[in-house]
Amino acid sequence: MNKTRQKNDIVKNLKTKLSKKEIKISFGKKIGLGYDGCGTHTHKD
Amino acid sequence: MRSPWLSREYEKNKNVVVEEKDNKYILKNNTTNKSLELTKEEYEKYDKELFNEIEWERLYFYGLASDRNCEDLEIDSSFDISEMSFKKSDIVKSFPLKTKYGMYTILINPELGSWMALTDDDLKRYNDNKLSKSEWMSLFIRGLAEEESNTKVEFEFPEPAEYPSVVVVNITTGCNLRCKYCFADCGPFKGENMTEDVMDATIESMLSMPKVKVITFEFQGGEASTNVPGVRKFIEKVEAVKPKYDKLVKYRTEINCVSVTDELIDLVKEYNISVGVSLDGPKEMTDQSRVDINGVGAYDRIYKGIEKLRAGGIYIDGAVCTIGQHNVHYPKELMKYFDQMGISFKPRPVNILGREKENNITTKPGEWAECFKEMHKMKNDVDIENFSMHIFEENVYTPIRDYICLRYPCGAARELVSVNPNGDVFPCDGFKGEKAFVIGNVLNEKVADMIQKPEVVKLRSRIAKDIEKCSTCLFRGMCCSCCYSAYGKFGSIYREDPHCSDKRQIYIYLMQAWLEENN
Repeated sequence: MNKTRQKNDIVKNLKTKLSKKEIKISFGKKIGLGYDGCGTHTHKD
Repeated sequence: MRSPWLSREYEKNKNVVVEEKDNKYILKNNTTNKSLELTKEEYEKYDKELFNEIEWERLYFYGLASDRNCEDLEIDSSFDISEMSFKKSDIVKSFPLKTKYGMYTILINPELGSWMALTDDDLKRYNDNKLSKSEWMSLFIRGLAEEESNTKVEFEFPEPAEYPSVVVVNITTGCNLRCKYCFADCGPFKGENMTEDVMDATIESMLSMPKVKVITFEFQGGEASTNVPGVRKFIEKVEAVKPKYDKLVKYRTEINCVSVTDELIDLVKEYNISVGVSLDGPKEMTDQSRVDINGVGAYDRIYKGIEKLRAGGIYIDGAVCTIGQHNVHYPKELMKYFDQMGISFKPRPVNILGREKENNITTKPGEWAECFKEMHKMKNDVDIENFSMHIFEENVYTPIRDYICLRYPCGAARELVSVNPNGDVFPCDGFKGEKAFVIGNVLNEKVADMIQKPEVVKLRSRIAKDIEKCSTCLFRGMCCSCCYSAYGKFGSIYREDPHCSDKRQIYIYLMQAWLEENN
């Protein structure tokens, strides 16, 4: 089975820029999409 | 001070050297020349890698520790924590939280959903303005404090979509079951199949959608497996025209498994269709809710269908497990059952629409939260995934909001639309039995145009401040009221979620659970 485990405790791939006027934190990883309704998770890769 | 929110997995920076002098330890980055003095006690924790995430964060801001998952830290020469002055933010609220290891005070930014747990000592120093600069910085980057000279924190995370990428294709209104909580206006006495002109218009509308790279066609109904020729026809039409469009196409279906045929299995294999099933747990639970026109439980037929799918080499992507009076008091049994079945599942309470309004089998206040907690305690004891754990943990522990039903604005007419066999389009699949929510018909106009109508823009823009109870809720940054369930319960989408109190209990529980697991 091609099961995928999802780990949530740490957000990975957080990019950080620290400067005097601006601190920018961005998330570079492609994320998924889920919805309720009848579907479980769609686009979750 | 403790928080998983925006925290990382840290490790020592390879460019750091340590100098000892008079029982003080100076960590120095040889590349940047940044340095920081540690006490002996602090150094011993550093050396043995016993720092918690906030203590590591202090080093990280000086370039003296690394994020083991991402090397992309950029520190401008103008950045110097010692020159920064911080202050409390009026946005931030607080509440006490009891854990088995003691009391904490949670500072929370209700807009962002960010939070930090403070011990009594931390709280006293916070109130007396005696936190260290790096502690203030840890609050600041989480939106839990402000900087005097107006330095801003910018969060660049994915925003809610502008255009839908998922379309629920209701290929028929026919269904071979009459489940007690079904929100769709479907069943054994229905049977309208999608016509080819509606198929063509739906496909064209989705494949020409602006700003979307991946389109998922999800086949539902009614029961999609009762109209396999219709699903095949739809997919063949997509395959025939998709080379004209610059889109990656995916297929998915959610079936009840009552009628799994060779024809269905062949289709699933041929087009690599992702398959989800609807299953409420063991026979004694499923048979109470998932019934046929005679009220007879369908479990035995569902089980045979699952076996047949597997024998045909089909992987079951997951199960939606609807939680109500038939199974809410058996969380452990549910976890064990799905583990034994080898099927990951998403438990979620019955939403209030359709037949549920007659049958009232959804959970009573507190029941869903208790069920969730018991399942969460078992999450490491099973080999399958409980998607609801993932969804809620993600919202409480991270800034990521990729679950479209637990985020403002929600995904209705943003990530998702639903198309009925006659071409009527709904902003969310949950509304597909409610004519008042038709936003247009694919035979007359494109979905991309429908979502620009003022009434649809209003729905797409629904946020916490539009809902009285949500507008003042501390957890609004990690939550959302289900639009169709609120409509079903209160007659308005501008009301709180019918399971609001359970969601709040779950958020608080997950904070407690993290603090206890990471004590």
